[in-house]
Amino acid sequence: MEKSDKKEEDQSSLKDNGEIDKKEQSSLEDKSENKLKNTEEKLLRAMAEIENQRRRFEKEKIEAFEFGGFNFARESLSLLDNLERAIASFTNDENLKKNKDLTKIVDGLEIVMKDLVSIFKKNGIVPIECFNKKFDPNFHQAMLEIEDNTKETGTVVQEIQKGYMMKDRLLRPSMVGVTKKRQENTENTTKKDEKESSENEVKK
Amino acid sequence: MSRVIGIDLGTTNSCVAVMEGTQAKVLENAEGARTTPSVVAFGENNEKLVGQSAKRQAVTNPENTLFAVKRLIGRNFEDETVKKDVSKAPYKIIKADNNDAWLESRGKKYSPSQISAFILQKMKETAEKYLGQEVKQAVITVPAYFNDSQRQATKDAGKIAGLEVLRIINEPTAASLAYGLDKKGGKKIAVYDLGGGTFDVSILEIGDGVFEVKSTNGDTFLGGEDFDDKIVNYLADEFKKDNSIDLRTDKLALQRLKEAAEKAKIELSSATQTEINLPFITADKTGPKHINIKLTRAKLEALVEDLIKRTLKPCETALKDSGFSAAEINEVVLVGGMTRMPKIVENVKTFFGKDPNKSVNPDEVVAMGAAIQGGVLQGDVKDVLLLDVTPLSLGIETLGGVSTKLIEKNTTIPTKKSQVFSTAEDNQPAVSIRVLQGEREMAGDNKLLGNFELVGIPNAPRGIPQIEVTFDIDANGIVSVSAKDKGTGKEQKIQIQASGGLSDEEIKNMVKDAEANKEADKKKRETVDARNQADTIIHTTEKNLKEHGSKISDAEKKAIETGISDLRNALKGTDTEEVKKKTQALVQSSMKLGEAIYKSQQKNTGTKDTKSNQSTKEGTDKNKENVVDADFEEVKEDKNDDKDKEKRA
Repeated sequence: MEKSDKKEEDQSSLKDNGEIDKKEQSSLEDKSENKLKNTEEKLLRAMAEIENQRRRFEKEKIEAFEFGGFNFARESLSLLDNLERAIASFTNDENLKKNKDLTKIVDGLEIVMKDLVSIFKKNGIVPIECFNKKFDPNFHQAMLEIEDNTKETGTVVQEIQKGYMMKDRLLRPSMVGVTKKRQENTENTTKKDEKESSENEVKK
Repeated sequence: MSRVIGIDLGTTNSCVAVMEGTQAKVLENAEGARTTPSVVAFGENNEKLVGQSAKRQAVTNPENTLFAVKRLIGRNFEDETVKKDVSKAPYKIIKADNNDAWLESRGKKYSPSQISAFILQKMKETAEKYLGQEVKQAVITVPAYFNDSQRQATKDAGKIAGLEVLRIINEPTAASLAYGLDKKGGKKIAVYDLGGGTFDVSILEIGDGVFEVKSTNGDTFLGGEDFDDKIVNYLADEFKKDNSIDLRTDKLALQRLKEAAEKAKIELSSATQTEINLPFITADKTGPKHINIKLTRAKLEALVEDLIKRTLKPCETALKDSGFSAAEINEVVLVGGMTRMPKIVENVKTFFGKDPNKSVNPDEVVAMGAAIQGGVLQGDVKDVLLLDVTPLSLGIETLGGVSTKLIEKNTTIPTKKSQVFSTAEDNQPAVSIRVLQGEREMAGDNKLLGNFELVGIPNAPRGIPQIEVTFDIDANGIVSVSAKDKGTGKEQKIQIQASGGLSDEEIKNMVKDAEANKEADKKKRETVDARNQADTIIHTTEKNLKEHGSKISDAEKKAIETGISDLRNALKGTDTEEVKKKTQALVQSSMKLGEAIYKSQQKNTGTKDTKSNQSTKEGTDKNKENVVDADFEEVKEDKNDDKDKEKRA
């Protein structure tokens, strides 16, 4: 008996809050729906990011293999540099020039150098042709300027150290001397450029 | 979904990073370099060069090669620093209408923000190339001593470059973020930044996740290049002593000396001595000259001693200004490539009285911190950082008492992994799944988290039934393990709390234990594997002998039977080598049987004898069974062995 009374009480209390409960319920439903939407979106985003990451890592892996020897190659260039210097030094030496046996030594060195060059080439490392070409800072490093009115300003006329490419990447830039046209210094000139250039020289 | 990148816009070099999952990742530019020189140049035809290429043409175009623009950004033309630069810089610095310091090149006027924008643009492109999508937002770092106008000018630079600058953060703060110091708890941080051209020291305090700069100091004309110069001068002076030639006047020789000096400096951070080899560095009338000098770390430290001391004075001043004592500093952070030098680490450690944080690449730590801040602002990082890992491997016990891992330790959770196992004996009616946690090879040495059985497996030869065991760990670390008979579809599962109340200490000890016992465990595992293999060989050979024994001679049959009994005897003992030997012997002798089987197959497929074909089919089927046998892992079965034996009895 008690129980049923209580039941009725409960039912009536339910009735009073009926409307409010419904509102609460629908707002709860909305909240759940929003949460679900957000979670779904996050999930899709996360999955897409995984796919993107995988793609990027694949690319990186391939690049790592292709250019894994980059640093080693760059340091090894000094072998070519020094062999060239050795050969040049011997062939230009006043005393050695007179010695017939010099050719034996130089030939030996040249063969080794040829071999090195060919090994480098097989691995995609090739020297940069820069002589008489237009100076290009993407491949050349300017070390000094040389006055020369017979050539266009910005032409490479001196190769101080050879540069190399590794496949399509710059392994080491060519160290070069670049021409510049001699500045005309006529007496009555009041050219703005000249003034500025001389000002700059003073600043330096 | 666009990403927020982090940019370290440095005086001499800039660096860009982005969050990749939980880690900040530094990106390589188009030339394959991880840092880009902060240099912008305008060529004759007004072409614009940024980065390394701009640097390379500086000699031919000094008035229009703009570098160290960071020194001018946000400053007034009348500023002391600007005045110093005006006299030193090869390019033109002018006063703008609003009195700011601007630059002029090839008749055009530029604000430092515009020039910096060109650099930021290159960093933006680097990131876009890597991510494969447009980048619109960034976090950019500035020195802690930058004032409002300098910060605003940096923000403007970002805007000009097409980036919404979500935040400007201080370089020492970024470095601290990269080490996760905002979560660590220590409140007072000292950041020692010795880069290429400048030295900065900052004292920070963290409160409620907010970084406060207590003091800054430094030396704007002290950097790694000064250290290189010390070595170059030493080499040139030594050479001059012996050869009366000053290499510093020869452009190529000087360049080679500089490169060799930098290389040697770097090598001496890990080796105690290095050789400097410069063949044919120059020549005189006596012939070619070479440099071949050994440089020890001690000698290098002596050469740069005064430079290192110069960094300690600003540290003292910064500490005093902050109001903290060295003892009160909780964390020290090292920034800048030069801090890799052991002597510097030592000096910093002595000065502050604690080990500095240096595990993150000091050239990249600021960009990484900016990327982390970017990730936090974007919202991703918070979510990802909530992910946990399972601290120890999980697996089940398999034949021979070994522990077979299904989920490796440190796997990010939630995660799920399945593997198919099979039975160890013919007509085995059930499998027992014992769930183990730990790194040891033998099941007995790992922790048993729980076990259950999957019953009702229909009669079949060993190795035939397919039991799929699945481990499923949810985000809360609760492990569900299920075993499903793929044939009948019957499934059984249990749920365990994987961490099982193990403390960090206990986990660490378990991992350490496994390392210590690695050799011993490996041997035990080998023993078990050898025995399992022997068992399998005996089983399959006996089967084959029964089926195809008629195909070989009596002598060969006898040899195989002897081999089998020899191996059985070896198994009774404990000598693993003996077991391995006898296994090999049996494999050899049973090869004859295999040959005969295949030969008869070939013969039968040749002729169109239906009867023979049938037997061939059986033969090949049985061979297939044998192949399947070897593939499957076997589940240990003691309880049910007994049950089995009972049944048979």
